[in-house]
Amino acid sequence: MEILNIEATRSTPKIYLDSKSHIHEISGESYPEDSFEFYKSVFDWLDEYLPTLNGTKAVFNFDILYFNSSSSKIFMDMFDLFERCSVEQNIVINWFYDEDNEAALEYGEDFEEDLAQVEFNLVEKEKV
Amino acid sequence: MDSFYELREIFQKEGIIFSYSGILSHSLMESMGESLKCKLIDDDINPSQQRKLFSVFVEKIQNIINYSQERTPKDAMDSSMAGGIITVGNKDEKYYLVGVNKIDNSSIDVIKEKIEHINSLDKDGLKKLYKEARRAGPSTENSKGAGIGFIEIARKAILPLEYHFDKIDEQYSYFLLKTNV
Repeated sequence: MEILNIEATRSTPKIYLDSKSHIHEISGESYPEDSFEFYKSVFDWLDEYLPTLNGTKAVFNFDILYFNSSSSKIFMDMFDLFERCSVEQNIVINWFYDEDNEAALEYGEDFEEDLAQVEFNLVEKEKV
Repeated sequence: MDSFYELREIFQKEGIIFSYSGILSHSLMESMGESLKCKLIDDDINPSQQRKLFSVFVEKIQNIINYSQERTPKDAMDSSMAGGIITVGNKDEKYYLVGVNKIDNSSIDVIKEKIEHINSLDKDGLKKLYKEARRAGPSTENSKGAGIGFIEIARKAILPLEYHFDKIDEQYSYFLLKTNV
């Protein structure tokens, strides 16, 4: 379960989960044909990984340009999972957005409002 | 030949950018979506509106693929291809999207209630409804998220959502949803 590496496609994001570095990335577009099916391997990986943390800080970087409504449910499920784990573990979620993408910021704020325990940061991307 | 010219005139009159009627699939949606993005950039529409239109486009097509009663292969409700119509246009300086698909008549009341409720809400009300729908039960294999799909469309749209049911027979109707962005 060391690394989960899924390449991005037109409608699915890049997934890079690394149990050694504890820095994880989900980036790109998310509007899969079947969100449940697509993200199943991510949840399976997390179910194995999260209990092994033992207090080590784990950072999840989300840089999503666009996501559909069923992905939104999936992300909420994932953040809820991190929220539950935050009681014992040290989990950080960084939600990246472009300055001119007000939707991404707004959705980030939506998630932040619904999470009490886990550290959730809205991070404006630097202009390249 | 004449009817094709008439069709072309209707397209021009309605400001139709593109219109597709037929079998919809995920990969077709991906390709159409890319063309749509290029066209919108070319039209110089502001990025925020581009994203809203693209979002409504994806939600509506995915809704049609998941719920249309016109399946390919026929009667295969779990197939990944379904029949419908998707049209994107610009009229009176507003972009709009129209989606049409076949539904079972038993769904009419539920759909109507959902849309009327959505149309009655303000921005905060929609946000609240969206958050409730997002948390409504775990995402499961069978859940296709129709509840949240309409709300997502509404959040991007200039309300009200316009809709119409056109009876085919005792069992089916066409459901049309028009979204102004």
